[in-house]
Amino acid sequence: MLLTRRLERARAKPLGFVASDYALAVWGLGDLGALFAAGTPTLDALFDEDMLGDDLEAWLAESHLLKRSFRATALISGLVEKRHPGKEKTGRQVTVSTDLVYDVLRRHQPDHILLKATWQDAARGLLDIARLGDMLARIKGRIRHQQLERVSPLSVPILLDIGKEPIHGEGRESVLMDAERLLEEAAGSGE
Amino acid sequence: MQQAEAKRQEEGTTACAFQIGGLDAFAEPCGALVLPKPGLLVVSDLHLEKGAAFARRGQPLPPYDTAATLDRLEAAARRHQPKMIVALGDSFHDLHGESGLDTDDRERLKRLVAATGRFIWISGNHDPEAPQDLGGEAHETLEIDGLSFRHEPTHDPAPGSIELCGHLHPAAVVRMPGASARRPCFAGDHRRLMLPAYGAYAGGLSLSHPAFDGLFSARGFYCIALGRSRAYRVDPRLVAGAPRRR
Repeated sequence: MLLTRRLERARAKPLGFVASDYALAVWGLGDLGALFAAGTPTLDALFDEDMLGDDLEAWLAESHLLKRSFRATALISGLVEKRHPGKEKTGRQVTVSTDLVYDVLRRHQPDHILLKATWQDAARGLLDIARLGDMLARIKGRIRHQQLERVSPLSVPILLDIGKEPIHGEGRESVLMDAERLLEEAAGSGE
Repeated sequence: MQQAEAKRQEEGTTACAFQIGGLDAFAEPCGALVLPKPGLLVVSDLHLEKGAAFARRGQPLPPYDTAATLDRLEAAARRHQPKMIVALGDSFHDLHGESGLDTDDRERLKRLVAATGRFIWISGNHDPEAPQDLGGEAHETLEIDGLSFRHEPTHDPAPGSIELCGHLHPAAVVRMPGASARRPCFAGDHRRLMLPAYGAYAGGLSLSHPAFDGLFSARGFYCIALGRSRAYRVDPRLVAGAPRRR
């Protein structure tokens, strides 16, 4: 997600996002509402059209979305088999995560046919740069920031999908950092 | 080893310092254990040629895992210039592993073994027989400086020494309010330290899995999770499956 990459840079520690045809949700460990209110960054800056120029390729390559699309490609090609609950293990079933395969392939054979296929799938299905550019131009200067006291009814469907698309960035890393700090505090208090 | 510290900062990674049996130890974010005093570098579960092993059984995984694992092992050896490297078993994914190595990988591995004072292959369940012509020594288990090296953990480690083992590919699921992270980890208590799997295709098993039942005691339990460029000693209270005091 281009947005979460920007949020990551703004130290908002995003943890995940969900997008549907109607809504977009991002959650993180930082207080996003407070950041927008303080203008670091402003929502307008966040949705600025120049995000399309932002190292798009680099972002895509490391994104979880692409890994997910690679999983589908790997399934179709017969590289891995899908596990079904209750089905006997055949022994042929792979016990290697397609994420690991993806990382290794990307480093050692970036022009592999499965990576090409993944890229094509992603470019068609997940990303339409021209439309995205139009949309960003259209909404420019028209974004209102509203902090709500409670969950709004229209946001409920998308909140149910939370957890779908995790981001493995600074947010996750700060989980480990906090877990380390807690231990040091416990040790410091003579526990 | 001072140099190693400088080199590491150059590469932007930070190891986690701790003590094991009175010796200074460093857990590297790549999954290697470094003991500067005896000059030891320890890795576990390299699972070299795992990609090839799957390919033989009709599942053509890309074969670059061996090269990827060797890249990291060579880098760690360059940083620390250890007198001795110990591989704690499952170094090869199966018995065909060694013969299946491609020429490049074989030469690299031979060079690494030759350049290291002692290179120890501890045998594991995947590789009960030692590599034939890569050099190095093969052992089932080995005792050095009050440390006992073996592949699978024992249920009752001999008193008086600390067991260094691998086998289970430990991973920590760290839960904080609002978020959790799952990472390969070192897990230890007052008598044992288990290393994470080093191999590129090896994966991890959460400490909450029944395979870990009864292995670690709450006494002196610690868990060091591998971050992207740092190893973190995390609070066991936040780790799923960590032993609890009764």
